[in-house]
Amino acid sequence: MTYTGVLQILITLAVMVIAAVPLSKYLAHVFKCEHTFLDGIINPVESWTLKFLKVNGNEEMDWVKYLKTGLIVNFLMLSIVYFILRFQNFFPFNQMRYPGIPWALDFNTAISFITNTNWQNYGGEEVLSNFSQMALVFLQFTSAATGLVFAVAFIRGLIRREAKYVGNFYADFIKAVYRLFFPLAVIFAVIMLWQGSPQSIFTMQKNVVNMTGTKQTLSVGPVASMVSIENIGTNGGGFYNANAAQPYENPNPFTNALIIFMMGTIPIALFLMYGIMIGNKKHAWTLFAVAMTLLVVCLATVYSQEAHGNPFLAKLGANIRVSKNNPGGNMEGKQEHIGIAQTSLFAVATTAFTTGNVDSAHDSFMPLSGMVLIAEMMLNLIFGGKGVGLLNMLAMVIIAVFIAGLMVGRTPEFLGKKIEAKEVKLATLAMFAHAFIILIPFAIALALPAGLAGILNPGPHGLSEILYAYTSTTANNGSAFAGLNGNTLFYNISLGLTIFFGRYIPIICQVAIAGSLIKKKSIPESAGTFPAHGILFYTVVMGTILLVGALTFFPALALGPIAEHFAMVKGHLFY
Amino acid sequence: MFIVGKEFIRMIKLTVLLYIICSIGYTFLIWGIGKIAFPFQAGGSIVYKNSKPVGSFLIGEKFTSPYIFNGRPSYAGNGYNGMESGASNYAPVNGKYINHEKKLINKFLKENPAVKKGGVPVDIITGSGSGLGPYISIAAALDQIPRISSLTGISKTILHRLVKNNISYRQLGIFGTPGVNTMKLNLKLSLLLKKSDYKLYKRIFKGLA
Repeated sequence: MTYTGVLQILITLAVMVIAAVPLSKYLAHVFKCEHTFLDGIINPVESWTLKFLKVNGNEEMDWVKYLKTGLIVNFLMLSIVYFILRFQNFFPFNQMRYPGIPWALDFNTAISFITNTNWQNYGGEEVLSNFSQMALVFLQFTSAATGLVFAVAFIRGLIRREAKYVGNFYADFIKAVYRLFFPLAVIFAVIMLWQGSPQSIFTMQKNVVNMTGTKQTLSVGPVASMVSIENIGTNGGGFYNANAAQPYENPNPFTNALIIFMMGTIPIALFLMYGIMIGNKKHAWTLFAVAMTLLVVCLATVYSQEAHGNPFLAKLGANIRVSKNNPGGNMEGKQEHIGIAQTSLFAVATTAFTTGNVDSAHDSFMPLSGMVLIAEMMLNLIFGGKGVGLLNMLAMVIIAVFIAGLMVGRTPEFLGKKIEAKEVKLATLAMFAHAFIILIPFAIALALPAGLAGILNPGPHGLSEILYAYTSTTANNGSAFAGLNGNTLFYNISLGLTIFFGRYIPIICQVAIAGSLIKKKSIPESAGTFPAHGILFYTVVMGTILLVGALTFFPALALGPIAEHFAMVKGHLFY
Repeated sequence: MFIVGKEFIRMIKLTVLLYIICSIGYTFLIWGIGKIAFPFQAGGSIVYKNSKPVGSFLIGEKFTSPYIFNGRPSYAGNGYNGMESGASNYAPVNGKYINHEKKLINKFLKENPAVKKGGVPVDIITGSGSGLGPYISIAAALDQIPRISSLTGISKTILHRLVKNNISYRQLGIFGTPGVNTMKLNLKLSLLLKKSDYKLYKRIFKGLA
């Protein structure tokens, strides 16, 4: 670890938090239908759209209708994209004449993108036409908007008292796209273009003859537009197989920091927006502190492990120590100019914010770094992706409040509402569903030859590869220990299913909690009320997260990355 | 069921409308901006020499000749294949990987006898994240100078200056790690070689001559 490394990490994080504050105010205005500075431009377009859809924005829906509408709209969008990819040879912008995507891979890909996961069992530049990539961009907008509006509905469930309706899905959805994702996507796409990301629609490749006389084919396409929304929407599915490690997607260290900024700012702003909307900023800042503490601990572990490097290479004669001219550390699968510090931050951010975009090969990380990345996705509440991170955090808060209530023998309350059996059951179900959907398919894959066939690296690392895959898909992250060959019938289907259930079961439970809370009346605060902010609340929430996380996932991690780490310390290699 | 025909049509309209805006409209908007404001970047930052495209400064080229600065090992296809970005994905405790690294380290030591065991810069024997990164560390560039100097006859001082002048420092003074772009470096080297030994230049830089 170096001072300059720590400094660039701190600057990136600080800029994110500073930018999140005004953004959170803006978002709160948007979803409370208050005046914002973009009204002059967007109001006419938005009212035209609502008229076109014959939607009355003031006509609100109850939670069941809100949820159903969202899910059916998601299904329709998925169908369009499945169809386009399946028959991409009949669509334009396919200069390379790539054939249609086989059904199992297409199933996996379409589900993966509609759920904000962006797990990729294909190399973008090798199989997809530009038209297909553009279709995925459509889902990158809408999946982010879906997560966001469900979180907004949940927040309304907390604020409103003795009410029934959580909002109008269409109006919220259009707002999320028009007032947040579209303008930001355009701004950042232009910056990425300026920095060197290509943007071509009719061309897919450029042929060059290199200086030394060899032929090289460079892959181009609508990259700048995709990089922008894939990160703003915390989607993470890149244009290229190597995602942001491909220099066209991430030309330099500045864009690397910019991409981290794009991923992290909105999820942080959503925590703060929640505070503004419920009128309790202290509560939101306490949850922010919980998530930020976890993020910093994860980051410190990964950065120190990666900066320390691989002892086996040092023994063979490589110089892994940092010096003025030598970056040192574990450089396998990392970009030299971006460096260890930025790469570590990127990896921690992409798993915290459930983006899944990678600028390095996570499979080649040191064992304990790999473990931290998996653990972040297992918790899935360190700010998290669009909306869902906040939802997971709030479900965990409900469990924490319940446990705290049990300890003092009082009916738990949260933000002036009684937390009763129904809410606790739903929150627990969401939490258990997440763990079950990771661990059971993981165990099945380990027991089947088809599961083991995908492994690249021998020993405990192979187990980590499979664990990473199911954790990443269930958490709708999309990053991978990419040595695992996932483009098989078994993995396409099983990972597709874990993506599907991992996304929708928790969301259904969480919106149902909102539906149950919204009916309740508010109880006035008393001396016995457990304050939802401050050090005590921080400790209870953090304790619950660590306890639940450790009890659920420790055994799997012990067999994979932890075993691997101790083997490495002992100098043991796996063949 | 609550979705009667009218509601369903509304959902289809929303889907189609957003598809047109977010997929077609958005991509073409950025494409248009690229055409007008950033035509060079939008086309992939392709560099032309003698009006022939030789590559992009963003994407590395497979430099394996001992006469020029070599890049990092690449696992993109058969090496620096622009259509197959990818990393090795080897785990640090994979025995096969360590054996493979042993060969790479010994090869580097043999080609660059001035470098001592224990001093091989780690980046020059490991692959980048995409197999397409053009950058090597400053140490990796400096370590190749004695070899290049003895093979090409260009003095070490000149090569040293060449490397120093082509360092990509931290951006804005903060972001990243200093490194050297092998595309830029070798292009500059070709100019030196063209002057000092034209025959050798033609043999090595076939794409430029």
